[in-house]
Amino acid sequence: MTGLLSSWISLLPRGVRWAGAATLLYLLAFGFSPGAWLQAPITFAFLLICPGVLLIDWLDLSDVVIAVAIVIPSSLATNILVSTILVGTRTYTAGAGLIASAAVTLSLMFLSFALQEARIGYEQLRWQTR
Amino acid sequence: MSLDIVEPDNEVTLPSEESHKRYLVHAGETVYTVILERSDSHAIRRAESGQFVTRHLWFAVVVSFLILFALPVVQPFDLGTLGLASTLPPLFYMGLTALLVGFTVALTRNPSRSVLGAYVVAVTATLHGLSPLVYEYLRFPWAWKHVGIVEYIQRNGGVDRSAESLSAYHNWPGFFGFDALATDVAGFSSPLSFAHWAPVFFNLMFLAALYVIFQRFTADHRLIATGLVFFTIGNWVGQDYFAPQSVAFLFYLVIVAILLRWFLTSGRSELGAERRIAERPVAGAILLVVIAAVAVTHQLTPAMMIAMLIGLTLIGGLHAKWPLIAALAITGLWLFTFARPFVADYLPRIIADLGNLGGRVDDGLIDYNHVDTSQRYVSLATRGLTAAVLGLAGFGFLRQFRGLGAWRQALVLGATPLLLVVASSYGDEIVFRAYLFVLPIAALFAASLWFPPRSEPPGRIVMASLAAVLIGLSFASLVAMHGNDIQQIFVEDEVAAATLMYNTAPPGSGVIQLTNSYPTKFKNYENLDELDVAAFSLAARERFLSDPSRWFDRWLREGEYVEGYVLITRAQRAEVERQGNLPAGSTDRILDDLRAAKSFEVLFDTPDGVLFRLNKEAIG
Repeated sequence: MTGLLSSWISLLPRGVRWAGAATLLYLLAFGFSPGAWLQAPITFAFLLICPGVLLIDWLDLSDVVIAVAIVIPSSLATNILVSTILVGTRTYTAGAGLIASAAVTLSLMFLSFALQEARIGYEQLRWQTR
Repeated sequence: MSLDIVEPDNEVTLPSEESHKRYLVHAGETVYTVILERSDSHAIRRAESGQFVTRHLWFAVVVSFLILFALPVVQPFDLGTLGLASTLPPLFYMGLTALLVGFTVALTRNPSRSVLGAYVVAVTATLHGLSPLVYEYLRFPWAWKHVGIVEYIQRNGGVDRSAESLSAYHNWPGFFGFDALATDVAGFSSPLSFAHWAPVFFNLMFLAALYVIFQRFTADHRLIATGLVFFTIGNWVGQDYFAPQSVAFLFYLVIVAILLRWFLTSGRSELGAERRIAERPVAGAILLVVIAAVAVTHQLTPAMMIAMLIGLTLIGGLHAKWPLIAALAITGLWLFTFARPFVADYLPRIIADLGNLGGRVDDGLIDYNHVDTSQRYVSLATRGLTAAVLGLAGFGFLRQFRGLGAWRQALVLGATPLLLVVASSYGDEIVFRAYLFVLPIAALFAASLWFPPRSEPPGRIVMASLAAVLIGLSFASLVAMHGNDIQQIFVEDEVAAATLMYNTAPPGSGVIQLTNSYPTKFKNYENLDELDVAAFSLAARERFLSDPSRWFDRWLREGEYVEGYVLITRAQRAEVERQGNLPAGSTDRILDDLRAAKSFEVLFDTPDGVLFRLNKEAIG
């Protein structure tokens, strides 16, 4: 089972793995409420990195400065759009914000995974029909 | 192994005694010098390079720590004529000088990116990390207002688009909504816990985006790093604090970076054409998200963004027109749907203000006849620094523009923000905002004076001149950034007086204050109307100074407020004295009069903050 899980995880794109790990860490930190000294940095990492980290796969941002320049602002922008919808509809609460943010991140993860699969499938199809 | 034979008359200096050997060969009467380079010299050069990197990295780290240790001796509330710059210890200035000299020394060799990056980060942290390291409370009264909007969202679960006070923030709530979320889920009660670190975060993020932008114009990483240092030194305008415009400016830079990396038609590119085309759909999706985030975050930045996109599209610099169409559509959609209450109120004023260039520039600059000596010096520093950076950029552009790739696009990026000075209704602040948007390209052109494209490596004298310029500008930048701190920072009793007022004032209350230089509107802000008496006409000021308590009593009663307050703080006093809004000694006369008046009761009385409440039972 563990072997199956790890081989499945190894199939995931790098960004999805990072985002997944950050989400798990965040949920652990939030769930156990260990205090702001740990909760705050993990929260900021979650909000400022998770959605954008998926781009590392899509854009192959191997240069760390370029990755920082694109990943953090795009995560920030994603969360700003999520928050704006909540405050604009006067439905903002911390819980709603967290769920919406996590939902966007998870959607992006699945989208990333689906795109990765589609690209592999397309390459295989092209190779078979050659 | 390589071999060089030098003519008899030529004197020769060996690059390194370890890697090169000199032999004399006698051919008849002629003596030739033969130089042999050892085959392992490449390894030696690499070892030397490794030592060079290590030495510089250690130097940057050690000097940064020395600067950090120098700061606790600063007395932040004993600010001199030049503000915080007068109070900083010599060790701080020595450290900053050492960093800039180290940076220019590194430039004389062929430095690695990590060495230059370490210096750029260290200089940025030194200049922009001063506030959170030295001051206990958040700097700038208007930053406290932003905390107040976040608090409003936390309390009400949303914004009120028809709010009478701070309505722009309610109509562009992106930044505030995100901060409410970050504050709540991080376990803080207020963004005050992290807001004072905003200048460090934003400036480092600006540099990352600028790195991507500058890469499009040059491959010379010495020029890129020097451009980044010019930017960080030239960024004195205070648009990098806890504010929507800071995050919107970051987004603007990211949009430019994405356009230049994936959508530009000319200029140099790190990416191959095939990869650029393959990655363009994802880059385009990010572009859309960031454009939308700008549209919901700030009023002015979308205009800057659209002007820039129009400029790039008109010169044929972009592969596609859809970024411009998307920016226009998203911004228009926001303006005429969510932000409609604000736009309906302000549209007539916006139209009336178009083209009032002279008045706007005059309003943005202080009148030297009315301000005190300290304010005059600070203003001279800001004007001098701005003129120096833009002047160097102008010379750089005239000399080097054809050498930098995609110079027409650079010109568009530098020129379009200036159009907004003419075509905007943003008041006097537009002058500073425009400077900020021009600064990235200005910084690159200024730096290019020392690194002309396709030229020989600069000599030591040239680099010494660069060090002198950077040191001079960085000292001016400290004065420009922190010269007015005496009226923009707060002490414990000012915060306590304001907290007491905001905690106790019921809805429908009013407060009279000299100016809004205090921790303002950060809690229950909608409960209080404000009246700034320093903003009154000269005649009105003279009238109320003759009998302050009677006039304050009258205004508060006429306003039919549920409760009426008067709040006077140290920073307010500093502002009216420095700006010359009230005659010398006025603040003390007002305080004495209010303390003696039966119609006011004292709720809080310390040298740094005094809070009065109108006694409605007493006859005014």
